[in-house]
Amino acid sequence: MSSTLRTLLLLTTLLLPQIASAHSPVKGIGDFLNGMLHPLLVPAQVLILLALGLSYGQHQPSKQKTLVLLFLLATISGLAVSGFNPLINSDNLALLLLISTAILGLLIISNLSLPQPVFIVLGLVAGFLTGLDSAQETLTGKAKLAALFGSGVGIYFLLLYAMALSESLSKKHWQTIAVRVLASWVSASALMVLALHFSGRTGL
Amino acid sequence: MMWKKVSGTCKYLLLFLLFITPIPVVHADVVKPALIEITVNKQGNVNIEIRASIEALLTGINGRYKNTQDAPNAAEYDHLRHMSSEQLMPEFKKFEPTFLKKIKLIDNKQHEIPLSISKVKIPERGYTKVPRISVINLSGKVDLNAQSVQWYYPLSFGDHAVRLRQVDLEKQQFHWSEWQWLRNDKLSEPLSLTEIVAQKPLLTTIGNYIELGYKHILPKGTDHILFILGLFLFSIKLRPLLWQITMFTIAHTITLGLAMNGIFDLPARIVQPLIALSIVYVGVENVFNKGLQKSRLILVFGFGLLHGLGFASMLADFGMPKNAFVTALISFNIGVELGQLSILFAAYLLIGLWFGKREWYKTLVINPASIIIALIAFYWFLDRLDIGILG
Repeated sequence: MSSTLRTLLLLTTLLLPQIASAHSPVKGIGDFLNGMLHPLLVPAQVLILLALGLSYGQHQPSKQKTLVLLFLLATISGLAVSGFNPLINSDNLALLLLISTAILGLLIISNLSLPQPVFIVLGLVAGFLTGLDSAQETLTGKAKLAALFGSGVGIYFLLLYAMALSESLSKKHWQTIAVRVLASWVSASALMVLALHFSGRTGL
Repeated sequence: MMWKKVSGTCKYLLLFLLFITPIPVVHADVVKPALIEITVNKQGNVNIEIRASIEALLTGINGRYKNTQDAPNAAEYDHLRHMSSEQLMPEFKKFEPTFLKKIKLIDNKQHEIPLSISKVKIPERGYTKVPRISVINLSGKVDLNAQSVQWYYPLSFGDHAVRLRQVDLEKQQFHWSEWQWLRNDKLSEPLSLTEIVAQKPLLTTIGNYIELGYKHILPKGTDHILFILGLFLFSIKLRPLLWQITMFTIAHTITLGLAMNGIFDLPARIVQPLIALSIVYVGVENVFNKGLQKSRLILVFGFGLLHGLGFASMLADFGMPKNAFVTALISFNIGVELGQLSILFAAYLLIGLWFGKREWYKTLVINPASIIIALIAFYWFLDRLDIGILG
């Protein structure tokens, strides 16, 4: 029952982007909460965080702590850099995020036992890129700081939810298969967007 | 004897001269304060009756002068004073926009009540050696949820006394406030509306104040939200959480009651930074906590006392009905408790349920979230010190 409720909550959370329009702030909820919702409103960020969370959830808890804390540091760094308004092409960022998602997804599906540094590097890249992709070009001063802070919280908790879900599905054999199926969907979604992008049919 | 005779003759001569000498054309009027009565009926209709010298208003001769003749523009006053009411009326009409712009009636939520001139009555010239007191009637409408109003009448218009009358014609109930004598160019003290106009059925009062208490926590009370989240993060087990929340609730109820009864209060410039510091402390202690100890409970109790003062300053701004003071206070407190319980429930659904039993809960959830809470609260602390650190 508890697990069902959690899954339901996650699905409800993931449905939120469909209610709000991507990248546009939700009026009246303040900069911090808008920042918090930002990762949910950017599909590339949702996909990478899901992939990373699913991957981390399959690790030992002691390793998870290191992986997540390093990811957090990388995210904070990315957010800090984005705060200086660099001229970053968000399309390129989305591209990199999707490529990372596809790689991570494929790693989960293949169930390869790779050394931890590989996941550390992937986490650092994903965290930094996600933070960098959360730039708030239209805001300045305290509003920008609040929004970036909110984005950091949103990114972090989205990763934790995905990780907790994956961890919950690591006890029985069929559950590990379910995680791999989920990862395949995530990976497929990323690959599909990439394919459409490279074929010139859609932007990112 | 001789001197007495001369003196007596002089007296008669002086008396004679007094009668035969023509009186110089000087009209020495005493500058009188305006009397203002604000009437508010049960439907919220406002009628303001201003009894004042329009001549003094137009010439700006106010309480600085004891007598109109002391003012440099005394001649202008005299000229107006000699006008008939029909002649003076157009002069006042020209002045009306300035008059309306300068006076103010503000409710306790700081909303200015729009006023318009409904009637002006200027008496005939009469005896010109005394001021002519005209009557200006203004009308407006006050929000029925308003608990009090404040009146502003600029000093340039003269000293004045103001009082408020509440009327319920249907029940033939009337209530007068005390007169307030105003000559400091400031807003009057709040004139209560709670005796008749803002008097509401008991259930409405309870509902209004529960809603107010709830909204003060959710979504407006970000500092209280963080404090409660801090308590939640300390331990999601029911016993420590219950102890902390109970201590906090008892404490803030005590200071809220004391402050609202005017027994004890501290200025906001002291309370608000301390509230922020209390959140910093809760955040920091969460990181280093080794289980629930008495010291933590005592501190939470102390912080509750502070937060109660914070609630009180907010409640004081909203105003309290004098006839249902205790009911409103308890209802507000219930609202606050419901707000706190909502936060705990949401926190359990979003955090406790998902992560509470994970091995990494402390490292990856409690510690980062508590550090974030402490950082935000420390920012508020610096901001609330209001010493320009944050620009």
